[in-house]
Amino acid sequence: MDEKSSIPDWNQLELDFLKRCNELNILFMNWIKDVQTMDVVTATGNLKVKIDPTKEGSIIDQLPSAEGELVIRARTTIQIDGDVLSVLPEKTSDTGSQIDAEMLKIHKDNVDMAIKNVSNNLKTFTDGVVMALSSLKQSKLLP
Amino acid sequence: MNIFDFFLLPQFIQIVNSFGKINLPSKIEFKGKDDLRLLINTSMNKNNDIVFSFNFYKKNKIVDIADVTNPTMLFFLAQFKLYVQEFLPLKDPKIPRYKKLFKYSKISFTLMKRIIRESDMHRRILFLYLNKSLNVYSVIGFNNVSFSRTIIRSMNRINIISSEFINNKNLQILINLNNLNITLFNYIIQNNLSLFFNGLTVFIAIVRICLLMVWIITDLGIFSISTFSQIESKVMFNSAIIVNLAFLAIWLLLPKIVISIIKIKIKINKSK
Repeated sequence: MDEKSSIPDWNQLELDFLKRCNELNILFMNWIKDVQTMDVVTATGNLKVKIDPTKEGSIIDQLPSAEGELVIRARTTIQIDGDVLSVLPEKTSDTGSQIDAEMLKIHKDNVDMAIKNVSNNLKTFTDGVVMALSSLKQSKLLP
Repeated sequence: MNIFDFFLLPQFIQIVNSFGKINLPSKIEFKGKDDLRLLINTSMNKNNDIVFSFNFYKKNKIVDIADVTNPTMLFFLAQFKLYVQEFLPLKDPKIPRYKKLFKYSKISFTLMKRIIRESDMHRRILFLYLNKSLNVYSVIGFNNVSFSRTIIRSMNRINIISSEFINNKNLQILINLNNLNITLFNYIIQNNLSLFFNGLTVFIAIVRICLLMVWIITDLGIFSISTFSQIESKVMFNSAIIVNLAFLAIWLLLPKIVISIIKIKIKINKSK
């Protein structure tokens, strides 16, 4: 490839930049919609179970259709107002039904990680929006 | 505002830092005792799923995970955890010493173009993360069997553990490995977001600085023309007022102008 052809076309650069702006806009809209609740599900079963990534709505809604291939062992729903709903894993033993401690620990690790990751993602995003807006608004560079 | 903020150094440092951490590394290797090593291959399969494959080797011969002792597994887990922490986004950029500043400024020049143009794996990951759900598989390389799958869609997570591994003696460690994969993936997303916003901030500030420079040069030009030329001083005075008022208006309205341009461009882009 000669050097001239490797220099990016500015129109293409502009389109790429706008595409990124659009992507971020979609992300923001999705987060506003989804930020009200966070669901963490721990399941066991067939890893190849089909979950349609393009389907509208929450992926959790698709889980009942996967019944037979997946067993939902534990589920935690955290709402923005602070309400938490947990379905704990249980196992049957000679003494009857009891909490499955091993599965509970795995689920707790998953929930802790999900909370940490989601809050960090949201913080990065909101900090970025605030930073970009304040840099647009600030006029301290005025002599 | 201090001098470092004026030259956008915190943003540039943030950009340089994020830029090195926006792609998933394709191979991660850790060395253990007795010539044992762990090689983690990361890839995207044809369904755009992210696959982490864990391979244990002893003197270049692949070893079954069942033959790896629990303490060795814990050792590799700790190593992987330390490695993932290196991808943690930079929280508070510190201004480096002057020698390093030169290095940063050299990198920064070529960076902006690459940030916009970059079309590597991270671009696809970001797109899938924004628009659809994303699958992260953890696979044992020896027999190419997946032990865990995590489906991520915005705030929701579904973790599926393969029924074959429920009674595995190393289940807890395997799940921890899978969790580290997800954490690494999240850091990549955060670094991408940080890169975008810092890039945007730098872009806006550069436009302001350029405008300021043009303003000063124009004023100096008017001053030198009025000093050395025969043009009537009243005419020069009037033109200086008009030029300065025009620059002041652009300076004050710049945020609105930039927002309007972006909105118009997005509308045009959508209608294409």
